[in-house]
Amino acid sequence: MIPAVLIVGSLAGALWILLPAFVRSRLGTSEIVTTLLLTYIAASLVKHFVYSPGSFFVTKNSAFPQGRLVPDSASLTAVGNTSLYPTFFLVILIALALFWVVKKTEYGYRIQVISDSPRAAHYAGINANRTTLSVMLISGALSGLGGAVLIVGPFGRLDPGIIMLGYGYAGIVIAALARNNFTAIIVSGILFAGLRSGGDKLQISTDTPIHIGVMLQGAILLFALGGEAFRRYHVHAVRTERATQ
Amino acid sequence: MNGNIWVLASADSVAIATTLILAALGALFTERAGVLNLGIEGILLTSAISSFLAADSSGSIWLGLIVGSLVGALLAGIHAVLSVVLRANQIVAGLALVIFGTSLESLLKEKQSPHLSSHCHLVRCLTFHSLVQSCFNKTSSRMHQL
Repeated sequence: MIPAVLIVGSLAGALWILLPAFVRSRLGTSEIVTTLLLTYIAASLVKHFVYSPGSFFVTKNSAFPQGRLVPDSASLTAVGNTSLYPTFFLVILIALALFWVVKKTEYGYRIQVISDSPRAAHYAGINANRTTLSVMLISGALSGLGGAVLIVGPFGRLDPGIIMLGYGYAGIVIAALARNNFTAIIVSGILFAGLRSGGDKLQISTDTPIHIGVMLQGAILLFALGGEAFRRYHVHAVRTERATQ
Repeated sequence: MNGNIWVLASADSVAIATTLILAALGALFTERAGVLNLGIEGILLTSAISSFLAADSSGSIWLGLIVGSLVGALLAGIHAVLSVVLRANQIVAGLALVIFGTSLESLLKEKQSPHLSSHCHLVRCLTFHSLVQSCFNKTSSRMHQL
């Protein structure tokens, strides 16, 4: 049952991004705007599913609108008495597999060429449209898998709180912090997760506001982005007289 | 009664559109210069809370307006330095600003109302709209006092 849930989640993710991917590859519409707007639609849909009375996803006869728990066959239990779910290892495997695909396969090489120069890719006979479409579908499937992992794992139900967590946007940030390296994503993902859960625990134990952890994430990213410039350019301090000579 | 709803809805939409138009103007303005600033959400929220705090502590609406604009300019300045001077990725810098700004806003909001801090979820559920509404109500009650 669990593999079925994960696969359906991935397929739904791919289906959701099909329209932006199609428009992007055929008409060159900015995928940033289309996917951003579709996010609001998806969030409203989830809210509709949970808050509309008598919905399929809601517990019956509950005073508080709350998602129905998935059956036991579709919910995973954490390893031991930790909160680590077996899906974590699946995610690590996927990250390593994607690293291999991008670095070692011909498909990955095509992606690299298109991202570096679409025109060069065109001259080299690479079908940029089809590759862009497939890459976006895969990325949609991965995000969909992310949602499915939340359903089988910690949440076990459709919960509008998932929207509030902002995991999707955090994903973009984590990818940027890992400087688009598939194996570094594992490390930066764990860092961000640690900051988030650490904020939760601090709130409980010492009454520190939870938002400090999230603010720290934003600050880390801002500094990492700024520091990127020092990696790219070599900054020399030169006296003005010498510089003008 | 039916007409009343229409009046309320149109009045509300004008009030909301004031913010929306300003946000869109800001987005368009940077877009003209070739910078995509996705951090507007964060800038907007942080400016809203800081202008509220300034207006609340000084008692002057105009000071709140000025402080809000200045804070907005300051946060946009972070994005400008990152994306223009240091040539970082504009989209990621914008998203970082959203994360930073929204959490800073929540932090200040919690400081503002400590009795709410134990109900963290409640605080989170207070959307920007309700914040605007509360500012609006506060302002109008002030006006009545005057």
